[in-house]
Amino acid sequence: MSRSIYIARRLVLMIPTALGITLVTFVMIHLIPGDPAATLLGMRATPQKVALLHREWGLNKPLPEQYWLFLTRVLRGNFGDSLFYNSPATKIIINQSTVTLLLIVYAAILSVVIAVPLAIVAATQKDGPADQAVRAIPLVGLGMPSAWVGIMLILLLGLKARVFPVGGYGTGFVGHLHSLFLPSLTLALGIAPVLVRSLRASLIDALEAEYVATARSKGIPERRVMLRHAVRNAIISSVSILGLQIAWLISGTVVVETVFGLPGVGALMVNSIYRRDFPVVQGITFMLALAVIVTNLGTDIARSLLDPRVRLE
Amino acid sequence: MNTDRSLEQGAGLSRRFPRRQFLGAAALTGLGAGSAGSLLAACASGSPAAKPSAAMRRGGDLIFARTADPMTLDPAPASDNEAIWTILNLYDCLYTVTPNGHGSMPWLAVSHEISSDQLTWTVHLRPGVKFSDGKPLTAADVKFTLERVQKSVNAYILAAVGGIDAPDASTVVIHTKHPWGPLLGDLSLYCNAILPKDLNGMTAAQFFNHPVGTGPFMLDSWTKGQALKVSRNPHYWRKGRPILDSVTFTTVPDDNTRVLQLRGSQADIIEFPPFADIASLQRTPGIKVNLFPSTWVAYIGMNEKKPQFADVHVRRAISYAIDRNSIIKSVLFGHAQPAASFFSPGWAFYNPNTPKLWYNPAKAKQELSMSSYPKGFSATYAIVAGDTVNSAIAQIVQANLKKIGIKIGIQSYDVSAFTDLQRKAKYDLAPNYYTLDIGDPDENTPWAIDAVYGGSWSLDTWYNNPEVLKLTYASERTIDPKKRAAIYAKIQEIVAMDCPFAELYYQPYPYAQQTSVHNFSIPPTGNYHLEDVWLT
Repeated sequence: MSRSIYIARRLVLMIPTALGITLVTFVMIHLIPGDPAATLLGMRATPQKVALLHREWGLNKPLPEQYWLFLTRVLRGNFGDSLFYNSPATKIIINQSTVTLLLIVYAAILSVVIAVPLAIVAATQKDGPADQAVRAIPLVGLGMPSAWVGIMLILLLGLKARVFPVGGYGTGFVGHLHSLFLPSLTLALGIAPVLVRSLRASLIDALEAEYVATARSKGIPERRVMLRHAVRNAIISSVSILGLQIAWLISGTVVVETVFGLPGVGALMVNSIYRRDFPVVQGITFMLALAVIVTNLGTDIARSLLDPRVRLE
Repeated sequence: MNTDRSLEQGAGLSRRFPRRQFLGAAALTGLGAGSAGSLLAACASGSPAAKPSAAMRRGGDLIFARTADPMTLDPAPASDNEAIWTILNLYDCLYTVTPNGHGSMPWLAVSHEISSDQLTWTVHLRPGVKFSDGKPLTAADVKFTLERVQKSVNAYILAAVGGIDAPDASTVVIHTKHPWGPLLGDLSLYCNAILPKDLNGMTAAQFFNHPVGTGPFMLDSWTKGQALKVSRNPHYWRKGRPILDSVTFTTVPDDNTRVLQLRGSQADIIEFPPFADIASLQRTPGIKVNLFPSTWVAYIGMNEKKPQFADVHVRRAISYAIDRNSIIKSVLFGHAQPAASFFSPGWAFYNPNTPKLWYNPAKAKQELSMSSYPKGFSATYAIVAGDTVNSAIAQIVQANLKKIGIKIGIQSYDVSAFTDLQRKAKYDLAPNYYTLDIGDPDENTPWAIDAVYGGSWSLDTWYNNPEVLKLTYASERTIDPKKRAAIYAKIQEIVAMDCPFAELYYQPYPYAQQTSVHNFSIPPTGNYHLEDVWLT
């Protein structure tokens, strides 16, 4: 099957998956106790005022009808208006998603930048002291909760050294990169250990493979052997792992966003669930579901590009 | 009138309202101290032009990190403190609370007269006041605003007002259905902040995206969830104010992050630092901690729809069983005062001689033995998940009540579920708090003790004492503050003995700031006059 047909088929399959997820979210958030009108009105929540708000928000309609309205709006790229902010949910979500998206991409890049050199050092000095260190130390990082790592980074690089801001999003692209460095590093330190170990293992296999021996015997410089032959082959399995990790990051940024005071979509999601801000919760769930599906698809495509033996079907 | 359940605070992994308390007696008695206070007092006496200080530097952007976004910039339906305190920097009311929190002083108004039958109030507007778009303030704007509030969810505050006339551009005549003592206080409530007539021809949605008011600042930009920036209103009526060019309110729900941002100089002022950090912040050079006396009252609500709590002896037993001093010492780090009255010392008409049903195990047992449950019973205690203060308090209360035979199980809910539980009267015991926004208790008494009219069924306790209601209505219909004080003193005594709430403590509003911020001071109602603040 050609790659484009495969991709098209996967994209079509995304739709029922995403819809299924929105249905589950919709049912769950309406099942748990709590009423956005009572929450918004607080002490002033007389039954009349609650009923008035329900009518205004369309919450007095039967649930299937509300879900149907949600679906027809989604088709037009509209999640409805946030019940708590006087503005469209789509606008709020997109606004805050950019922060989260940048954070995830930044963290993924940093984790690769950290993992690849370490894995090469470890693989080339297999069982030596450097290898032992590379295998042991990141494990410590893996065991640390990201909230704690984040606070330590803030204390060291933010408050002591004053190299990076202790929180916030900064202004301008350079400002964003500067402000997001510590949160991205926090996330990267959480996923790099897994990457290092998988990359090291596959590099060791690759370095013992016959094609590497052939390349060396042809007199190709060691550096080129490593990067063009060994790493290229070894990295394929790590791409899948990185893909899985990114999917995990999408749901795992909430803590880091909280610690660094970042206006990301994770924090928005948590707040909106607390308030029962239905349109925002449903909108975010839908977008996150799409993001995870697209990441998985992207991972498969990247693998097939790196390894012609991987067949997409 | 922020209450626990008005949700603005629910957010964040750590609960936004730190209910972290610091109050010291010194802070409490220092009402009205501070230079902002004196400036306000100057305004009250009719000279709005503030004297510029020699050291005062004009300009600059103040970065103010707060726990939550405002929920709205529309004064009429607002209820969360972030919205209220932002609104009062964009718009002004006819009257405002005095620096000590115990009264109201002219603001957009300069004076008023009451007719001999006490039913007609003639209010004269301050001359020369302009909106931020340059248009002059007129009585028509006031009439429009107040009539708009009468159609809003906060309509109760003007329920006594029968009609509003604007006989000329600078005179407003307010007719009340009966004599109404709290009127000036009611007019100083944030929801009565004056808007231009007909919202300048815009819809509410359009107008509040680009609001126009007479306040010291105007909205510059608002990225929801991130930051709300306000800049100087060039037409502001107090000469030389604001001193700052702009204020950026950032939204930082996490307590630790706000403290770190202050330490890292990324914020100039932070709202509600956790009380656990107060001591270390006070020791940090370049940082100053303010514990402003507040109107905050923390209590445990007891649901009288449940037979156990319908028994007054049970309620009194619980109040006597709770060791407030240990709560204040171990959870609030000593920064609060034990509470007896449902009025706080920051409220007008607070009665310091209210009976104190405080820690007394013998009395607690005696009251319980007089109840229908002499051997005790089991009950639930609902808290909001992630609320560290109330979670710690719950454990102390649990231990206290166990000693008299009442076993409580602590249950955590998210904010919306917690609200639902209270609204539907499905809870047994639940801690909560309320604050007051004006220099008159009339904003809160309908909610706190009036199960008939208030709409909140006495803060969801369903407490209903006809004698208290009769006295409340009598006080509201009395103009003379001395007579009102006597009635409210009596009400506080009766409510304390009826004990619908186990009052816990009064706490201040903690703020931490860089020492480069000058003149930041707030009245007990919590609204800040940022027009008086400057940076060096």
